[in-house]
Amino acid sequence: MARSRSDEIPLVRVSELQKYFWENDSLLDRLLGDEPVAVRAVDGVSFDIYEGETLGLVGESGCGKSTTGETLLRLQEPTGGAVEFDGQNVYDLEGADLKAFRREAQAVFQDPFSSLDPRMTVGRIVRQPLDIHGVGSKTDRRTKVQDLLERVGLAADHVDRYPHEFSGGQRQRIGIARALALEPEFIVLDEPTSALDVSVQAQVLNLLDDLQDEFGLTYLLISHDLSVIRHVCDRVAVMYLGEIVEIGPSEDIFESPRHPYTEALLESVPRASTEERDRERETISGDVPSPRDPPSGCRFRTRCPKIIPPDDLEITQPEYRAVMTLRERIESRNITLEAVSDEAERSDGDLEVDSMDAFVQGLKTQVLEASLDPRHQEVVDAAIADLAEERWEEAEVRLAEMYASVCEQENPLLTQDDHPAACHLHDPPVIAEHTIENP
Amino acid sequence: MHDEILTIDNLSTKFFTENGTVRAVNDLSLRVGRGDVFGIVGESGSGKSVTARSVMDLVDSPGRITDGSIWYRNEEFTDRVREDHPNAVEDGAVDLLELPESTRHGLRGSAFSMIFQDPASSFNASLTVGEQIAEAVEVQRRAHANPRSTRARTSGSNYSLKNYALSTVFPSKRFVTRASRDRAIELLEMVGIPDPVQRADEYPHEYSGGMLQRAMIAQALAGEPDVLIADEPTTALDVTIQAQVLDLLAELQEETGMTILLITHNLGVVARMCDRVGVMYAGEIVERGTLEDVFDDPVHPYTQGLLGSIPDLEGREGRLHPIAGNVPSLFEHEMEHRCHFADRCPKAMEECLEHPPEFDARGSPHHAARCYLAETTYSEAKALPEGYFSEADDPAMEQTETAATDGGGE
Repeated sequence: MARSRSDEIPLVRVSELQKYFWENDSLLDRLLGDEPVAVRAVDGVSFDIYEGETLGLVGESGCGKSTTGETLLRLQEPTGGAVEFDGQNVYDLEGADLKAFRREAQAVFQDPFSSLDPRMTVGRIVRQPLDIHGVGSKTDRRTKVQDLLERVGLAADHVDRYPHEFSGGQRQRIGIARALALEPEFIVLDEPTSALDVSVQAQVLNLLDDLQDEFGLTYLLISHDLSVIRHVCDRVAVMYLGEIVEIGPSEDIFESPRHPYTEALLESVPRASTEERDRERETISGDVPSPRDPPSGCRFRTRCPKIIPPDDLEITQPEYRAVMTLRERIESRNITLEAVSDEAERSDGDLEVDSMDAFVQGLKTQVLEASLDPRHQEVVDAAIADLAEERWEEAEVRLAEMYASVCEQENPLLTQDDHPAACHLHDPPVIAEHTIENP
Repeated sequence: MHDEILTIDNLSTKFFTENGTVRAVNDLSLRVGRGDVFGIVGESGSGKSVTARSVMDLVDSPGRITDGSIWYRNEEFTDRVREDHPNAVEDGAVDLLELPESTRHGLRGSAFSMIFQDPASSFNASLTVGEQIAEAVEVQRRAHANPRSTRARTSGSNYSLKNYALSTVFPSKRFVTRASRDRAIELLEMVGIPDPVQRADEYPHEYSGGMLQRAMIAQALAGEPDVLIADEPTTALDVTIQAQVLDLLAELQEETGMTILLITHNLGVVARMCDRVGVMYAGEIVERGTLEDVFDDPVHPYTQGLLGSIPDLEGREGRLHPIAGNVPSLFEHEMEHRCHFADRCPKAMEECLEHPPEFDARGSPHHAARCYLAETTYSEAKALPEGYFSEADDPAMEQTETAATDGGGE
């Protein structure tokens, strides 16, 4: 569905939404003088959701996708930014307006085992939103609940049963019936099928699809499962460490991804076909960094297989990757020197030059992932020699002078086109020239 | 010749609960060749984990292996037990279920090793990762020094204050030695943990999920096992990390030549890793064969249904084709003597009311399916009338009835 929607008014407009959680923020911490630490779960995300479409939000665990969903429903108060629903800022709403918003925007949660109260009958669970908002008379509500249960594929006489009597897929249907009770316009689906088996997942996805057609619903589907996202969504936003790195029509994202992270995600998913074994794929190394202290510049640069070396530097990607990983470890002081120096001393007692060489070689085999061209070898050896004397800063500077990447200096912005990606590879050429002039 | 390191014949494992007997695994047979990667795939509750635990003898009470045999083929081990337990040995292989418990437990780590789904809960949070791996090394080392002793030496000892105090005084009471610690660091390096010397001294909470899963693999490799049983090894991990761990397992398999029994619900993981596949449903293997047999030419409607219900990453095709209904109840008194999939099967016929044996299917000689369709073709004339099973249910089986109505919205 690659039609241009720039002239339409979006149903939901999220702009620069920000949600930080604070650690070390208790009274005791303040008395002890500990600085609060920000966990930047969501760090300035913007996107629009148009009426009748499904926007997918995909990313790995801890990237902030669920927090985005909860914050835009105002289940959490944001640290910054705004969400407009039907033209009104959600965070400014009060009283009756807020209640009206709550009727229009609903949620289905991931775990059907913990999101239903085990002491309530199914009828009461689904009726509760109607009770709270005072919809209809008592008999109206009862009929409505029975209709809803039938609509989601359960039987009307299930109203008096308890959640534990149902299977996972059926419970998720109950959750969906509850979300539908108030006839909302917009539903946030937070990993609605990740607790279900594949065959049951397919049932639930088909049901959600039918309901969307029947009631003209707008969905925000949060999921880590790329095949589900592809199957269901019209447009997709890819999140990494609290930021959106790429957003665009589903076809474009899956057929021609522009951000290296999206590419890596797509590459990593094993396909259920016999050709899978021979499929060449490039996996990315490393783990997602902590959102307490995200990397400077582009947040994906610590794992990126396409990190951009300085323009005047001749270096292959594996070499550059190895050097950059070494730099990170030096900058975070994350290298143990003792073990290596012990060994160096043992093997070479007297001559200092020899033991230094042994140290450099020993450490290099431990910390460097690729073998380097002689030119780079020299610089890296010198930096490691600095480490031998524990001159961390000097090693840092020595490497930074030679190898500083544009990716660590500037956080790339989303490009301004119909398939925006936040990556320096897609920077307009003007900006690239600008950085060369000011090294 | 393709020799089979592990052969399971007619294995049944049951759980004797207050509400009745649960047939978790029923009359299951499979053959795993040396150096193969064998995948067991199925939905939750299909009995795949119980099968793995039966091999490891890790089935907890009230569960018990009630029938069958598990043949393990290893010359050295066969020679060792021949003397003491002659009736367990047959044709060069040993039936593990004929051995006393202590002998079986001695096989853990050196013959069979297992990695679990959730690495965070599989490690002891109060000991460093290095120490836990070194302990596994040490257990194997001591057992190796005295092969007649079948005691794994982990039982009885625990990390109490008393033992801690003793270990500071008597070096022999220590769980780990310098040598085993060095080996632990080597293992950590082998599984791709950067800076293993330092990481060995860290606690599990300082590791990320992917790193901890690597550490668990390192621990499982401590005894250089013949067979590594991986129970959903990547289910708790993100896709990019999953790809790393799968690559690691494939690499280690190639290096060491060990056999891997991979248990997963993810068909993509199976396609990536496995040479042979067994599809489990309601405690039985309903179809098995080479990867090509099962993925490209499936016979059993359940296998077809599973493959049809995964959304395709490569293209957006209209609707998904789910399998109606749910995994059936496994209570013995509720299971009829019929094909257990018949109530969800789009091609159920009159024959299916009789429990099907395993038929050979077209394709490779390994391809077999527990379905009459392997022998006959589907004919509408013999099809069961719609709603046959929901009517057949009596009121006492309400639980199964609710399960069967799931999918009524399709």
